[in-house]
Amino acid sequence: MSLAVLLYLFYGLMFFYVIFSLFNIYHLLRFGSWSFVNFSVILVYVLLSLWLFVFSLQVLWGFDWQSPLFSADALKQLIGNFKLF
Amino acid sequence: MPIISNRKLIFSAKQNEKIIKNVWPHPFIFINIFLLFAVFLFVPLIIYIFLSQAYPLILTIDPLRQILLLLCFAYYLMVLMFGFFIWMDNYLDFWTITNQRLVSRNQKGLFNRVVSELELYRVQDITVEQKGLLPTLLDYGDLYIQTAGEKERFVFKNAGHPVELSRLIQQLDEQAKKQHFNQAE
Repeated sequence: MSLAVLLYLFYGLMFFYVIFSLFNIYHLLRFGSWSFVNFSVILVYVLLSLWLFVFSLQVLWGFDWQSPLFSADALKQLIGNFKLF
Repeated sequence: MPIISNRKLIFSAKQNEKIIKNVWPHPFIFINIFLLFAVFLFVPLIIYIFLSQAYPLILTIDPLRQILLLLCFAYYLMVLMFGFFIWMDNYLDFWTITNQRLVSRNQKGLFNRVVSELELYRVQDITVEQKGLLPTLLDYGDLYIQTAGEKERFVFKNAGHPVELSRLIQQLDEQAKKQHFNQAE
């Protein structure tokens, strides 16, 4: 199993995020007031979300996701260097 | 002053009905949400500092570094998403006071919304409750309105300036009672 599984799970979370956000924005526009505060919060949220999406994908796509999920080498490296006492 | 269309707030507005005021919870409640949100934003940073001091190796071994970064981004997505959801849930709890009635909207989650109406001439008793230091200093509290024939009280939690609000409702209540009984005669 490759690390890409985790990346796909992250894509799934992003998809859920978009759907959930659209529902929230719809509720705010449909049942809330058309005030400066309401629009500002929605705008800030959308901009922050876009920034987080772009930034996280830029960082994550820089890695090799085809490497195995459970790496014995990495485990050895980690355990071998731990000094418990 | 927010621009609000009557259609969205009041279903089937009555004849000669005018919106007097829309009342949201006190701004401090919203500031609380933002503060909580800000605290949650620092959690990954604190974990990063702890790991870089205690287990710096974890941050250099490649699969672990990838997984931690992924978890970090997932965490920020969740925090942003639920922060916005909590904002929406609180922002859509408000009262509309008209010259004839009170309309209370209470958003409970995404797909659950309670809209209650109360004819002002039915108001029997208004209670204001300000408990604690912050509600007293910042002037916010709970407003309870008891009506004739109602089992539950009409409650507005964390209303800003609740005493002024109760006075306004009392004034409107008196006017509504006069109007109602004149029509009845």
